[in-house]
Amino acid sequence: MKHKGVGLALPLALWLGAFLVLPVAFVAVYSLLKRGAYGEVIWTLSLHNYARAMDALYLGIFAKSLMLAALTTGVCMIIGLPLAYTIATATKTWRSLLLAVLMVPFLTNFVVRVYAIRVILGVEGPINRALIASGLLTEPLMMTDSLFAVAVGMVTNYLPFMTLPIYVVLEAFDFSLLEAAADLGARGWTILFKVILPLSRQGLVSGATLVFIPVLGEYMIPDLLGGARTMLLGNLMTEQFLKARDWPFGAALAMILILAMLGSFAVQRALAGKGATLAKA
Amino acid sequence: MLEMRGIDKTFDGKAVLSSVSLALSAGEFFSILGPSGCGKSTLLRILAGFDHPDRGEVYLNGASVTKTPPHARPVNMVFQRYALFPHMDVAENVAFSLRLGKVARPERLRRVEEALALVAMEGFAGRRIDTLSGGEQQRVALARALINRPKVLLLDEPLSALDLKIRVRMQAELRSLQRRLGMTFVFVTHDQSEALTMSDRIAVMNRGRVEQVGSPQDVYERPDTAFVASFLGAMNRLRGHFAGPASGKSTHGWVDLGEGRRFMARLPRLQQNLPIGREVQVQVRPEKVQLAKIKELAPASAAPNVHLNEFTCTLSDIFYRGATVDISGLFQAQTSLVTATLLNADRVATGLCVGDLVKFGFCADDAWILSSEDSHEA
Repeated sequence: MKHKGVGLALPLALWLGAFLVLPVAFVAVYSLLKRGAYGEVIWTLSLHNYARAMDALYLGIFAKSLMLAALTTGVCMIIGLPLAYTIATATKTWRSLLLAVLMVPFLTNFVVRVYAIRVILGVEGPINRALIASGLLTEPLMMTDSLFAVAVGMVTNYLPFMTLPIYVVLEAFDFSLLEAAADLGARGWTILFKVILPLSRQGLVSGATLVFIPVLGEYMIPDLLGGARTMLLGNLMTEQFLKARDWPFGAALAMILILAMLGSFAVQRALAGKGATLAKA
Repeated sequence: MLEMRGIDKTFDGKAVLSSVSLALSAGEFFSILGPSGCGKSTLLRILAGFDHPDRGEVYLNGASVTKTPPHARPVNMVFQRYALFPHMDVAENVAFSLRLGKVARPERLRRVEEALALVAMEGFAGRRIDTLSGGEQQRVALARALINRPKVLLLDEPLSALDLKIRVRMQAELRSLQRRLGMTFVFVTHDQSEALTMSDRIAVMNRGRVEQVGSPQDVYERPDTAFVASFLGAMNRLRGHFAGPASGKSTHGWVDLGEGRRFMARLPRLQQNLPIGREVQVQVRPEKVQLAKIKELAPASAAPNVHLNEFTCTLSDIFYRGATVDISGLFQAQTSLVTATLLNADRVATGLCVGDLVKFGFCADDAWILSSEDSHEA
């Protein structure tokens, strides 16, 4: 009688079971199998796919992907916090306008948006034209097909996922706390580090989770903006499944990615739960 | 020691403060009283440095601090909703300014303890803010603002969020704390009884202007303007026409109330040039109205030849208020309502009922004449 609500959760449990737990279980099993000569799967269990993933080549890709995810998260935070602050402190009309502007890109197709960045950064794009017209450059910069372009794409695409959780926290923020801090002798940066940041922690951590984890597995943006030389975890996996037809190795990479995400999620949860302790410094 | 001269402030083209000038002496409990939107909070924020006047200067001990940012002003503020840092415990909140000032730990601990003792909050040092009641938070906010011994403590309606019982106790404690420290307090409130109870002096504000500055007795018993008279306490208003100054005393005047009735009342400082025939009001506080059925009407003041205004009324209502009772009668061809406040025990003794014909009276010295033209604001 105590668990009357269990029945209501049944559809969700079935859904998650069929479309999350079962596929992940498949991937886990596949990661232990072997690729045959023609891309078929050979049913012998071993850990050799994981051993292969520890190769320096793949470890390098892991490291690069982690760094890019961390960089994207950091840049999104640096842009997202002041942006969220501006929106939260704006007048009502401005606030809805700014929020709309932040959300408008999501009304456009993802691929179109990423291609737009390609155009903007391109050899014939407005940035290069402006730089050449102003006489700063004679030859256009090659900005596309690089890690830089990928980073620009990631930040552009994931910025709202950082900004909105911070905005939600700041919207309920008691701004008289800033005046209280100033009144007690604190200046700009002290107020930021002792009052604003500790109290936006929840938003920063949710934002970081929402940016870091998808960026780590992102494959469309590196594919479209990174060119052939920029290999990241996401493309590597896609390639194993679609081009190399090595499903077992792709599955092993996917398992490693899932574990890495769970790990980072745990770290972020711990950070969010720690509450006040950081602010004491 | 704290002085404001000619302060003007507009927000979005709307004048919030118009040529406000006030001078406070050291160790004074000074209240700024007014209805919401009268500019009192803006004035306090200008004193704290959060807002800047469009015109005018703020002086502290003779030096202008108009352009000094909040963190550099030797004043501290207690906020309306306390504004305690929720991510710090009580001691960290109180020690916030000491940490910024790089005060060494032993000294810091000693001063935090001292500040908490000042507001009777010893033993709360390690408590989280959200475990405190409103009154306790108020005390912590007070300790935090007092720890640096500011030259002036600014209080922005600090008691308005508290329950009545705690509010009354905090009023007494704030007052005694201010006396003990000898510190200048600037206390903003919209609660007239709070201002009357606590202050050495009160500035009554309305529509961005200071209407009157004076002791609680001054503003309550000798209001300069109709607004001040009506904002502080209850008031009876009897309409009439000015009939000229009373013979021999320019401080009093006659008012013609129609039906051949003339009342004498004081002429306040700002009303001494009233033209004869001007529409005026005779104003008298309910507790100054006497009832003939209880005892013989007598001048309240000891001085002889004090004029007594008398009239008869039909009792229309009796409002029980606990210790006192308000009895109301209709007057002036049933158009004016006059209320008298009596001790309940006295009312019971007379056995008055609604519909009884009674005789009211009040001394000329207890009433005053105000031009109706400036009472539309009231």
